[in-house]
Amino acid sequence: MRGEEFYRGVSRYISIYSAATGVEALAVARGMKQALTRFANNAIHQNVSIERTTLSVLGLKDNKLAVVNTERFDEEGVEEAFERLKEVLAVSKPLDYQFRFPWPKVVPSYTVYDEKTAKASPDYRAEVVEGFIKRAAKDEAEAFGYFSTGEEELSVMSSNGNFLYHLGSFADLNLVVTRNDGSGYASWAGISVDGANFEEIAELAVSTALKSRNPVEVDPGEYTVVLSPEAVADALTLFAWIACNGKAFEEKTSPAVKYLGKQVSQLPVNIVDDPSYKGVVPIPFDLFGHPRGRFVIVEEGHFARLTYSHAAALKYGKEPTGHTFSLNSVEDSFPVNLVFEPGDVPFERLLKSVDRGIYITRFHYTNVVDPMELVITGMTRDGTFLIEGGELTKPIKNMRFNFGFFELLSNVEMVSEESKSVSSEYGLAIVAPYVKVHKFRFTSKSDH
Amino acid sequence: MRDRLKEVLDFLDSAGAEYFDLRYESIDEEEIAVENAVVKSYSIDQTQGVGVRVLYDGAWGFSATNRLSKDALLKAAKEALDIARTSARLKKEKIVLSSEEVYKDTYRSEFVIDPFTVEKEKKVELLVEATALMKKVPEVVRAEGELRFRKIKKLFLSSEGAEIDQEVVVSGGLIRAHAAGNGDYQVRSYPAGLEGDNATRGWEFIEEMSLLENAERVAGEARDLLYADVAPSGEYDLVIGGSQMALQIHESCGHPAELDRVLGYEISFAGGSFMTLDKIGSFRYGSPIVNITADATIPGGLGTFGYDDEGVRAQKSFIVKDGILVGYLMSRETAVKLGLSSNGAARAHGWWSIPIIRMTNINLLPGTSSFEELIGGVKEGFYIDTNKSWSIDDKRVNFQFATEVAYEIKNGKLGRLYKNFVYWGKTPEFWGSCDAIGNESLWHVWGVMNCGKGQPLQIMHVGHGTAPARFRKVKVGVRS
Repeated sequence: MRGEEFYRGVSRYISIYSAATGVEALAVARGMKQALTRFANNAIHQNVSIERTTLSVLGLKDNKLAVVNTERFDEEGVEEAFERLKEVLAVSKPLDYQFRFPWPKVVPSYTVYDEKTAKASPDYRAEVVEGFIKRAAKDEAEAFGYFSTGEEELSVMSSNGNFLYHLGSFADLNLVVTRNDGSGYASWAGISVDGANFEEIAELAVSTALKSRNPVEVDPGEYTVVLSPEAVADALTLFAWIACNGKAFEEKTSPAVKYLGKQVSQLPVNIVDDPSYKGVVPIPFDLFGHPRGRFVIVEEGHFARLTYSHAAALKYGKEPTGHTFSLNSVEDSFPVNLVFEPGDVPFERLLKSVDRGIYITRFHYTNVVDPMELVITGMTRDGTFLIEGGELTKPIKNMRFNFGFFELLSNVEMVSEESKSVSSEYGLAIVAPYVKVHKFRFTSKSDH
Repeated sequence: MRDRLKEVLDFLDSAGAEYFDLRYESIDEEEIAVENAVVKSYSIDQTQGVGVRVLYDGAWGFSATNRLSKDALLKAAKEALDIARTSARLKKEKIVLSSEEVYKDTYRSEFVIDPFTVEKEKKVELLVEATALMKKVPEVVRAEGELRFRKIKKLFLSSEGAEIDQEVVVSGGLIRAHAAGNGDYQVRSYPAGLEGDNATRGWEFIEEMSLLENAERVAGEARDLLYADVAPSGEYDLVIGGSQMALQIHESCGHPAELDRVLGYEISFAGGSFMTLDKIGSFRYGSPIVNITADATIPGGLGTFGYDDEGVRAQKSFIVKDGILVGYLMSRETAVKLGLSSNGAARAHGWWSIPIIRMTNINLLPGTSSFEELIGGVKEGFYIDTNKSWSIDDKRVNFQFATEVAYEIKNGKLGRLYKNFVYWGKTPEFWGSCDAIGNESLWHVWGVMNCGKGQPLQIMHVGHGTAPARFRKVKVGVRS
């Protein structure tokens, strides 16, 4: 990583060339060193290390915006970036609302850096992977997955004097274990490898694989289901993407048009975006330097708030919420530290309460079918079980589902007191509990 | 840079690596996004870096950096070597690469007008005008237009003596109308959904799209969808338009034909494949008129190049011939397991990514039917096009796709518009029901920019040559 002092130097160039060109600017520097060990069929098959640093400069002149992305941080590189900005701004068109950059803000700091994780060696990752492989082999099973470690730095600097710097470590993994036609899964994400219980992760994936062999078919239809934290996190990502963006609400292209301000769950469910929550990989400020704190989206079952980017807030007369994460799409916003807060029911009791239903280990390839109702389709995978009399009695073949996310929220019966930090498909750590839901709709079945 | 890379080659040679390659890439990108006649974003990107891949004691190591000094490159090479040594501890068998011809060559993709020489103002004006035309329809709340251009320069050097320079130019774009009203929200895109249409061509490709000429029609269709009935459920014959066929091929043939998936390398993320090794040469994938190729040599295709990222020359091979599964997409490491040579499908997202098996241009070869004949052969069904939603299981069998538009077909004639059209099925049964494919005049290579695979995630640009095609008794609607 290049470090805070390095970026302070870059911020001076930003100020110099902003003054020289008359282009107001906000620059975002991102550096990442990521190492990832990937394994399949009980062997490492891919092992990579990537180091990359980028500088994005958002220029403003005559109420017109343009972006230049470069990897040059020296004075000449910054000067060239401003020259390009000038060129593009000359042909661009002004925005239809008055734009301005934010004034510098005070940002809370979170302790987020763990050196052991940031600098983890290939040997360390191989040892963890070896543990997974040995545990799988002990039961004549095979392990597949990845284990990633690294560090990331983010600096926001602007021509009006803002300067912020954040350095964080991260780690995440997933593990699929198969034996014959059985398959199991576990995942984890966090800021320190010390927070992961690798033995427990391996045990869960292996035991699920063993239990899910010789699956039987059940007919599609409506069932009570118990969703694992991984499945909850998957659905939560699509909710955040489709339903939480204030811009889409203002344009009337979001399910929030129908559901914002309504009681969407009979239970006091809380869905929050919170960089201070244990288990997330925190991002303390957004790309415009707005501080990020606990932001409650669904409060006690009530769909309470939407995210507004800096630009969308200016456009629609709202307060920015600290959720701008793209300089190429400054009006859009997204919550990056998602948490579905735990309830008060022990998982064992939650499971026992299901007389007949289906347990879902993981969703696969989810997508939105109808954005206005947030209808989500996808498949189950890596361990789907029939629940009878509060016990997982039989593995079943994978099923396709189509459910409305708000219908699901209104059908939540119980939320477990246990929650997990899981690795989501989009590479973000999400904290989620087990959830019991009735009338979950399966529409077809698979051959495996 | 070439000299610096050669010094790194010398270092790796002296370190005893059995195989290694270096890939320098420089990517220039220009993206313009206009919304409601206002420039939402005009971005200019430049990236360059080097990926070092080392095979040591039968195992891979890879390191990539965008610090390009000699010291930084040597550091990356040492890291790749160390990683390979570690990988070797946990291998089942030594990785062996297929024997391939070694090239010293230069490749340039063909174009008429270099898009980077076209005035920026002209690009902006095109999108401003197109979105203003769409915005004339009152129900259109967001009129979007996008253009993107990419120039990718690569230098590939290997321990076998390969030295390949490539330069590929990509152009693409779309317009899209978002309409809200009547308690609903609908989208209509042109010329295709997601990121539109893209090709390894120049500015002439954008001009041929006729974005202005289609803007008002697209906006009108978005509005009409607000007031259209929801498509019914049941079993219907479908004529599927070209851009939706691209998605169908992508998900249900392209991905399952990737040999690394078949061998289990992708199980933890995107899944495996139903096209298992025992099926090659005998499995009936589709009806006898279904012929699907992987062809990286089609002029202008988005999956067209001179050499893949292992230095294997671009080529054409069959995946499905006369309805039978006959081949896979392969890299050097995987082809050798079948006793074959690579068919040139190892590709990396950029200098920061290790090459993995990716689609090139995966094409459904044209049939003999005119569009009128395709529609004329349907008593009761739908003509559908433009992808809106997609999902498929982890073996690529059970799929469910949705399209932006569906037009009723009654007694061989196109009728009224329906919305929220969803169809689903199982891959071999679906392709087995294909009874007509559009002729060469209807065939087009669609360019898909956003194919995701691998961990860390790699986004690849691929092509799909398709014509509209007809399928019998397909399940329609999610509640059926």
